[in-house]
Amino acid sequence: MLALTYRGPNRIRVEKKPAPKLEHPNDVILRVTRTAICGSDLHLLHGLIPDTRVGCVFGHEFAGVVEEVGPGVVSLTKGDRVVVPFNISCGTCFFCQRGLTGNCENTNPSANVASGVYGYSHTTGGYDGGQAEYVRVPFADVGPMKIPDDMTDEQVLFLSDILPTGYQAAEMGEIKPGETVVVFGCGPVGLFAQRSAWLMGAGRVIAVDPVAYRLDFARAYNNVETVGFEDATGGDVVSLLMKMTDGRGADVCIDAVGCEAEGSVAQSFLGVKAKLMAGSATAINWSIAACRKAGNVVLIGVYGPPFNAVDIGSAMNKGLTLRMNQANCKRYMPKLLDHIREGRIDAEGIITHRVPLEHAADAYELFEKKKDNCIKCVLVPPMAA
Amino acid sequence: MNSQVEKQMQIAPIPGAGVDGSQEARPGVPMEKETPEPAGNAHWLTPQRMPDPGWIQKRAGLEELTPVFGTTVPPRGLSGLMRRAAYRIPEHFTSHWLVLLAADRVDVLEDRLKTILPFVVPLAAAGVYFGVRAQRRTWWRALLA
Repeated sequence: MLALTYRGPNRIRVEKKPAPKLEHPNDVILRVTRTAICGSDLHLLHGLIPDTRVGCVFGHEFAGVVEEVGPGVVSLTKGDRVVVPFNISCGTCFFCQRGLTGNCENTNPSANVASGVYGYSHTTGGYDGGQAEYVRVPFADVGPMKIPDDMTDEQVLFLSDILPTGYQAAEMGEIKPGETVVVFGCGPVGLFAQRSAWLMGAGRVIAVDPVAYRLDFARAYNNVETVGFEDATGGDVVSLLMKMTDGRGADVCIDAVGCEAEGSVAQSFLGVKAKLMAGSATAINWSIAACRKAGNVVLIGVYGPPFNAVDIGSAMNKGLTLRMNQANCKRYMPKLLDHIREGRIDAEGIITHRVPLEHAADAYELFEKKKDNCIKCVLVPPMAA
Repeated sequence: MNSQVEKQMQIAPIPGAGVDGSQEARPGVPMEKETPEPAGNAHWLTPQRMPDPGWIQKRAGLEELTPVFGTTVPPRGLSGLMRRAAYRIPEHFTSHWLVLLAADRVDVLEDRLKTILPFVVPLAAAGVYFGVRAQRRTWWRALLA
């Protein structure tokens, strides 16, 4: 089968690989029909996530058709169309039973940091991802959700990750009606976090991003106020945000950027270029600085181990509540499917590019370098039809 | 609902604004379900275990492999040895991650070498062969002179 494989930092290649096999009674093999490139795939591409091995297949956002079914699977049959959450979850461990499927303890033998994740290094269990023609899906009775017959794969594709991630970010902010929410990042997760903040009754949503076309998109898509780095004197975004919030700060700040945030030369050099820490913590520090005392700061952007230079002293002295986690997608899928159906969230509206899987490396470049006003790239495998 | 929210709802920034305003409407609240229950259609108490292929690396302190794991890209070469060493160090030690990151770089070098060796080895062998042959001719000429 064709698959996008990692060859080293900034090097990926679409090549032939053996198709996956059933390895557990509750596995299914999925023929991928749509798969997306996520911002967190870029952290892998840039060599920021430990134990990313040459030859592994990326991709944790995908939907497809069930091709082979393990003998222990009861809820799926061959031919079912499903969308698959990026967390691989057993469904019955301590965490899964409490709704924390992103923290499942039965699917990742490598690290105690998260559940297994498709195509996201051996630090999250060493599973191949979905940027391929076929993918093995463990615990098929737990994760995958059948796609309703009247909906397309693209309408629901983002239930696999970025939509629940954005929604959970807003939810962890414990937004109360009328509150001011600042979302750092106008990438796909940031866009969905902004939209979710409105759904939760925010009185004001302010989006921050260095890229002008992404701010334009956020304004058009979410009707939010926007702040670009160029809007702030000397690039001092935090001072501008404080001014916009009467000098007090926002009630809730959401970091939807993660470990490659721009805005601080020192952080970018130490964390991203020199790799002396786990990426740049600029968005965390700005969230801490722009949040009002006793407010809520949410980290939903991805950071790898081991450490970052985070201004934890300010967070402590301001009495902030910090909340963070990988998204527990499974818990949010029915609710968000309803929002899509009712037209409250136009999830596929953020797709700007559809690219054949064979040209996935070009799509990565487009997405990474923010060419052609790219917001979200969807890859279409040759066997998708 | 306070006046600020009423004003907001009148403006309606997006369709359905405020629809999830109450905590009860939010599926992840409370963060931990108060009544634990299986997720999805899980029909087991303890998941069946996958067979251990013998090379899967597990974190220090984990007594046995998790029931399910990924089987892509087994460890190999020098990078594999480094990864084995890293997984013997508990993950709360920075050295665990630093050794893994170093192994990632070595893995890339090994892959590059594997790619170029089929070309470099024959070229190097040919270079040595012709170099020695040319040198021998020079020696013979020197002896005969």
